[in-house]
Amino acid sequence: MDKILDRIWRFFSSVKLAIVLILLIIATAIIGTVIQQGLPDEAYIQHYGTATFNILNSIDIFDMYHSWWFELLLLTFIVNVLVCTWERLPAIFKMFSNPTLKLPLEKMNAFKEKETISYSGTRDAFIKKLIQKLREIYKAPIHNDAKEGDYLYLEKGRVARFGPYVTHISLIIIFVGVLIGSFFGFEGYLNLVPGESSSIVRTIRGNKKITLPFSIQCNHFNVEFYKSGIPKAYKSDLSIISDGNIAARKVIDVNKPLTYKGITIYQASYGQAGASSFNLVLQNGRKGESDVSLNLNQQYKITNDTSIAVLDYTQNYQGFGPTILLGVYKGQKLVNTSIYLQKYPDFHGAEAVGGYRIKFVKADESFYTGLQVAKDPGAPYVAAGAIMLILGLIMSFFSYRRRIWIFIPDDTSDKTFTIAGVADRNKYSFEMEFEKIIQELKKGVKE
Amino acid sequence: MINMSQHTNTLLLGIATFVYVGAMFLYLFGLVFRKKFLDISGFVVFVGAFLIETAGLIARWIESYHLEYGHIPITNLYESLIFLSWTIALTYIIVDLKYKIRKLGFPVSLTAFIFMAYASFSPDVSSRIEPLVPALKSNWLVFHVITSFFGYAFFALAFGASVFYLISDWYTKHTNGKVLSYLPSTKVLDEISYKLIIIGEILLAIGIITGAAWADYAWGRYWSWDPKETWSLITFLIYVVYLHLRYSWGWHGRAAAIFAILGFAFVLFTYLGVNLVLSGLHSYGSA
Ligand code: HEM
Repeated sequence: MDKILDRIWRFFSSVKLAIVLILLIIATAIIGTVIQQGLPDEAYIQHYGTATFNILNSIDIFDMYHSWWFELLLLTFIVNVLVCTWERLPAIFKMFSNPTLKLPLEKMNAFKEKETISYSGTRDAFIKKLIQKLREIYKAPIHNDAKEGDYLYLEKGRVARFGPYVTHISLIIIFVGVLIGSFFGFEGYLNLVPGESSSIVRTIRGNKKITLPFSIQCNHFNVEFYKSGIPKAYKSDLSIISDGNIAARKVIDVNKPLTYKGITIYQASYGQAGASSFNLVLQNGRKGESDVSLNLNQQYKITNDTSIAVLDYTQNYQGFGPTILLGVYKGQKLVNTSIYLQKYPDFHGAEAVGGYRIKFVKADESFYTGLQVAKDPGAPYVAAGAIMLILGLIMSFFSYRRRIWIFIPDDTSDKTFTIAGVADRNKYSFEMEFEKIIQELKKGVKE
Repeated sequence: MINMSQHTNTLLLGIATFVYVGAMFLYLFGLVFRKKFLDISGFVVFVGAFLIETAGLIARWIESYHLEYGHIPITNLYESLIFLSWTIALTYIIVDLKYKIRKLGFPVSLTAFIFMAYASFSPDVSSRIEPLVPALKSNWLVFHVITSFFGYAFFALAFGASVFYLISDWYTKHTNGKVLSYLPSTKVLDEISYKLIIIGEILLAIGIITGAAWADYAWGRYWSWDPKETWSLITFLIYVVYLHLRYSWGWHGRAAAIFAILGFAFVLFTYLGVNLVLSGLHSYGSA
């Protein structure tokens, strides 16, 4: 039993597995970008045919980032990071608390970066001078004197050894945040026309109903456009109504959401809710022009016995653009209907209603606001993890650890000392650095 | 004061495009004739092109205010191509001052020229200053674009340094150990490309995270597996593999150089491929 556990542990602690998993995640993630995700089934059936669709659908290819196998892959990856980190962390701490201060000469000789230098003068005076010199040009060494001789130890860039662990732990924190979000959070949407309020949102995935502990009321909604017709800004004036009271009120904007009791309301979109009023021009040869603005179905008297009303509106009538259906009444009786096109004001020629030529100028449209309502209690963990990840990367790479050992044998007949060094990374930079130290020391020894 | 007509920026950017060509030829002659003054004049002309390009970008920024849009010029394909060539140029200048790897000037000026020429002359790319849709009005977006693009630029230079590594390595192999005198030694090139990848990776990570923060402020969702997002993550992971192969298995030299070169394909795909290739595959309706 222990053997099996041991084997599982060994399996999850390997960097080889990490590389295989990352490559698998890459390969599968690519599939999800090539095959568009989350379309209605019909779109896929049309493209692939029913048989292929059924096979692909059974392995959730069309929603693969939420499929069990992709999530399993991510989970395996996280376990891998966790085990890897757990296993190596004690060694890292030990290295910190208990670095190798005395390295035997034969180990030093095995390093690529090493040098044996002879000195003059007395041994004790030399050691003092050497320590002084090292402090000036590099760092104060840790001095140990043993029976066989004196050992000096210098280390720089220690913090870089911690960097990868900060990064790896940050991945686990991010993962925990994602889990919290998916278990305790939701994402829904809600459309409101001005004046309306609601406490029910529908989830984006699965279209489930969620009842909020308060209701959201849209007081006003406003869209501004650039001259070219592209939307410039859209803003909703919202109130949060809790137990019959207004608990909060804010004008939200894209990128400026409102948060209340852990639930955040975002300005996500907007849409046409129909037209609210219509501007017409009535032209009469003698009386000149007059502008009228009518609501839908509102009757407007143009002569004693004739009135008109806008009965219907469409934004685009058979490609002719905004169009209204105008009704003409004698008394209360509808006697005639005809269409008026905004783009073609002369469509009716000289034809007049009750002595007036009528032009449809423009409809004032009303919009609904599209709100996204989301709760994600995991987000702060994800954010903290993300910051930690960056810090870990900077720690790893801002510096690099290098260690230098010096041994001065006790035997005074042999007036030499040996220096050797090694770097975890950036071997070439270290070679240059080591070279410089050697030169400085050689110079210093002669002085 | 320059007259800020609609076209000052495109004019300046057009001039910069041709000055980059000039720099490119000087660098090329420098490679062929091995004369130091050619490299130096290449560098001087290159810096000139970079300054003109900078002026063009600033003019464009000012012009966007005259049009009452007022936004930093990094928001459509034209601007992003120009901005990418600008980040690559600036990164090269910094890297050259620090690591003395001037010969990279040839591929860098060629790249800057290609991006700018594509922006200016391709019929698919409009140079009009366009207004921003509301979702793009966010400081996070500015950080996001700048960090991601400098990330791309560092990866591009790492790619160049790795190609140089292979050239230098190949030369040494085929001449019984002679070294290419006009390139840094293979040891140096190996380490430079590693350091450039590290910086690129940090910047890309910041780019991904600021992008996620922006999405969270705009839509309440920091990650939605959209293709661009996913490809940035894929690129990040590719270089994570590079770092681990290097650190844990001691990959370096030729293997690392080849990996860095292949890795750059992912950067390119993330930047251009996602928009140009994947959007085509997405049109199921017409298929
Ligand atoms: C997205 C995922 C990952 C990121 C961003 C990441 C990041 C890093 C970084 C930046 C380093 C330092 C490399 C260097 O100094 O050149 C590193 C080292 C390392 N990574 Fe990862 N890593 C990831 C996943 C993993 C996984 C899944 C494992 C599990 C086996 C792992 C194991 C290691 C080990 C053993 C080291 C060497 C640590 C040391 O210096 O003692 N990494 N990682």
